[in-house]
Amino acid sequence: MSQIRYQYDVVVIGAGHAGTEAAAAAARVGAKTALLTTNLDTVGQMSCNPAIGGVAKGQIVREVDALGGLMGEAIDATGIQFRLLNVRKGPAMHSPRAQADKKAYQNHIKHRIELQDNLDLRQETVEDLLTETIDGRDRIIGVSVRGDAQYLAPTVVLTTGTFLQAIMHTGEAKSAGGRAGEGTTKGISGALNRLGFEIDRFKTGTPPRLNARTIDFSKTEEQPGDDQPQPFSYLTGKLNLQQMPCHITYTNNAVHDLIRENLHRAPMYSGQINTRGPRYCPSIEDKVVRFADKESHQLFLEPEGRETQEVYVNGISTSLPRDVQDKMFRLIDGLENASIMRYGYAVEYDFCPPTQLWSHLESKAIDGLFLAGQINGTTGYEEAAGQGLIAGLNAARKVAGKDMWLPTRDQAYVGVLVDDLVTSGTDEPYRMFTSRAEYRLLLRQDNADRRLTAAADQLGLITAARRDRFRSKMADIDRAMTLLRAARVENVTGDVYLRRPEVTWDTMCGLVSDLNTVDSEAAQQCVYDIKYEGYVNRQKMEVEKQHRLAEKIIPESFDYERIGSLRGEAREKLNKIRPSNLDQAKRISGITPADIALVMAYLK
Amino acid sequence: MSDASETIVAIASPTTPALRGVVRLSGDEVLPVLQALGVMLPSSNAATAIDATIQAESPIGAVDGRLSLWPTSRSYTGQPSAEFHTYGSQPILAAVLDACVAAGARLARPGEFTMRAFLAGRLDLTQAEAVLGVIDAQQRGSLDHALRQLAGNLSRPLETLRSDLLDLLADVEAGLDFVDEDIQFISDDDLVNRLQSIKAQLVQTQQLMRTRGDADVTTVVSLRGEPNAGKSRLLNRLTDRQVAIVADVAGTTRDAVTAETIIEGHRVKLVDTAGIETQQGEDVDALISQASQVQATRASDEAAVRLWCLDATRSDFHAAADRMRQLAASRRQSAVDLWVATKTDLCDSTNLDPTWIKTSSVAADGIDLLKQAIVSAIAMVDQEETGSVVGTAARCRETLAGAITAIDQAVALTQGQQGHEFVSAELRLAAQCLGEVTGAVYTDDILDRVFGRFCIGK
Repeated sequence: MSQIRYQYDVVVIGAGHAGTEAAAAAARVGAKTALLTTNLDTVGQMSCNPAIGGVAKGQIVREVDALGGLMGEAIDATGIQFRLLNVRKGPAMHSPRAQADKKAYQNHIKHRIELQDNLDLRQETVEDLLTETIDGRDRIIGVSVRGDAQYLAPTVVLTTGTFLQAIMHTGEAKSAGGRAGEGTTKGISGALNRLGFEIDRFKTGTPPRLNARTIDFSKTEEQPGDDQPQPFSYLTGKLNLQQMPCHITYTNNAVHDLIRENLHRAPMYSGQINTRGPRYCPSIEDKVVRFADKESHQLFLEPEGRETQEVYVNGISTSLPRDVQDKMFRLIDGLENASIMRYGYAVEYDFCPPTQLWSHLESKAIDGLFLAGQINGTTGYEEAAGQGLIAGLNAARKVAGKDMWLPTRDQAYVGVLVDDLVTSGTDEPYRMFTSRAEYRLLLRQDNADRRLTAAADQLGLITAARRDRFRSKMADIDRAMTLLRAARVENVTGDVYLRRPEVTWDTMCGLVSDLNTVDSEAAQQCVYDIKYEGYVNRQKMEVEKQHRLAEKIIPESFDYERIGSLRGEAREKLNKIRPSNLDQAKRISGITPADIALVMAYLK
Repeated sequence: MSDASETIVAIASPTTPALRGVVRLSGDEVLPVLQALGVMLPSSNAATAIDATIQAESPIGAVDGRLSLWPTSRSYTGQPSAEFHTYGSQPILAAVLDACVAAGARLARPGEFTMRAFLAGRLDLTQAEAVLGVIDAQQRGSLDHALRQLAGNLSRPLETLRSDLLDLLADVEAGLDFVDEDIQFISDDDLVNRLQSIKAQLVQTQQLMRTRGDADVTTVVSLRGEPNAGKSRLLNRLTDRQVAIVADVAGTTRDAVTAETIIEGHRVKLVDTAGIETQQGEDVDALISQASQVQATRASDEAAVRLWCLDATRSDFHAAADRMRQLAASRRQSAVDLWVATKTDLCDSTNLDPTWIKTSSVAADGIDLLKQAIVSAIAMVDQEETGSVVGTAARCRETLAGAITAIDQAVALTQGQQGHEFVSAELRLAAQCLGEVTGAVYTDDILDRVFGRFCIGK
């Protein structure tokens, strides 16, 4: 054969939110990287809702940005509406969310990839994964693509999203494909099967899109963006944009009756789909069945961009047949004459239960093969981006012979995300919630840079501009704290005085004039540090306890068979997950403190 | 680790004199062992209690008793087991034990019954500390008995409370994570009401534990000595308060005075017994004195630590000391004895034997030294008698106190209009406290509850 062979350090398959972050991260730390996608026109595409962020997800975007990732800057550049959610709650709950101009977002990501040194973006269809076996151990050596060519690399990052064995359903109609109008990636599914991966199936859905020209917005409530929009990226100064509003309308009993009459035609209820979907993102038919007493459900009308009339109807994800979807809108205020531009559908797809991965997202079975994004059973652009960055970084580090890096659970939502996946797997498409983080008060959107940027600098993930900006902010925080501690107000030092609920930063500025020169982001950090010190310290104590358990390393070669009295179920789970320390072992579902005690006894 | 299917046997009742004694068996061969001992076994597989006679070696011979039988795995240890209840005589119990061993059982190692129950998932008091404590425990029998009692009393109400707490947490969490939903998850008033109801139940459980669990965790320390040896004064010093009526007249204390106090974190019940008197006679005073004597002897016999107090100013100190040591030797052997010389401020005590702790209640000399000695003694008692039970019970106590504090905080935060994420942090702390006794807290627990109850998601 006269095959053409390309040699790389890292090959990334798939250029969605996981793939682009993975490739960019690998290239940033110096690995020669190839990013392969079946279609150059869908790089960084938002397949579902045209929005980034939200509660917990917004925090992840801030972390990806603090680690030098693409997502934050991309949404800042292309957002059309910015809102900080949960502002009436404390800072740990503040969550940025933005509507994106979908096409502009995708172009921005693609452009950034094109500009990245060390990174080649190619349109290729991957047909197979290439492996070899050395000393009984399988390792990846590259991929083969359509057209008789091979990309050889010691590490491959697989980010194929919902495209593995994907089937789309709209009512009784079924078609192969992971996204409306696109195909499915068969070759990789076959390769994963051949390599012995355990494969499971999930489903998810997407709502219909309407033409704004045909919507009567006067019958809906307007939801404007924030007066002072806050950016996602630590590098973005002030956002200057003309924001677009979203609109809210509601379903009603007539709609619910129509759905009930047609339930037998919904694939989820007719038996056509038997896989599990996400509970937090139910289809409208699910909502009507499970919460029958609720008389209306909220629908958000979200514009998909500045230069399109397409409107995403958030809240009415459905796989009901086309005629039912058409009739449904006739019954909803403001949408009576709405014309559907794309029908809603459900998609079933393969994923690889993530307990087959080590903590750094590398396969336990195939050395050098990393998996990230929806293929690991997650959902959401942000979750995908976070994993992609970790997988790409570690693939590059592996090639360079360096230690694997992963943020801890008390350091980042990304750490919680990856640890949850590899430790517990997931029964439904995994989405981040703040309640998944036991150290929520530490993992705030405002301090992601303080949690991660110094580490990112060590790892070589960030630019000099970001480093300088970060250092200057840290210096400003130190300076402000020194000023506060030196000041005396009503017989206490300034920092103690600021702790009082009624005292604000502005109060302090009135008392200590030098504070007026402190940068506003740094000032905010001082205020939070002081006002929430008690809670933060308490969580830090908890963190230390966890770290003590985490220090009890379980060697990779540890033999659970030696522990005669270990329960069968516990032994099976520990053998499967092979936790790297007792802290991780403790979080495996079904593992009791007694099991941990036994393992601990044998570790000594 | 030994094979958990081997049949084990142990005396499961305390070694102190008691009316009844118990020999416990567990393992796959329990039924054959009992048959070999001449017990007529019922044919049913149901748990049952029958009258039974066990043939021991002569001179004991046949021993009558009541046999509780769990023929299948549906037992405390998750395997066939039996308990033979008979007279509380050590020689008889030892003979029954020997007979069981001769018939194929082996002696249980410390904590082995508990360990099996634990591994069988029968004990929900799943604490790593407990297991390791059990493995290391120095003495068998009393330990698993105590552990079981503790678990049965506490874990059920705590589990219910934990579940209530998680439901509440789900409401709070849903409000935090699903801010865009048009659902009012929980109002502040409702939150405070439910918190207070949970707190009330926690306080009730705490009281329940105090009454039922005390024997396991409080060390009884008795003060013994002749009249006017200064015991009451010593008790007052140890508790830092006026508990006993003190007078310089011999025999002021007639009833045993008890006082609970904490000495360096250890809960101690001090029993100030009436003086050891030898008075004989018909008058009322003498009768009261005799009644007190009985009470004093009993209190002292229950004590795990005994403080033998002797007036250092006595001219016959050494002779009196010898008599006291004799008396101590004739009483319960397993207690730890401490020798306390009192009133050392009133004489020259430099020549005193170093086993005597020199104290003066007036000048507070030596009280700290005595407290140290008591703490060391308690540590010895713990290790010998109760193993990890004290640790476990202490943790239950801490757990409840911790959970109550957290809920108080949560109420204060809610009333102070602080964010629900802080309330959640307190509730998680409370749930985690309870989880330490009943099982770990998993965030999926909370999410399951959220999704089960609310229509979430766009």
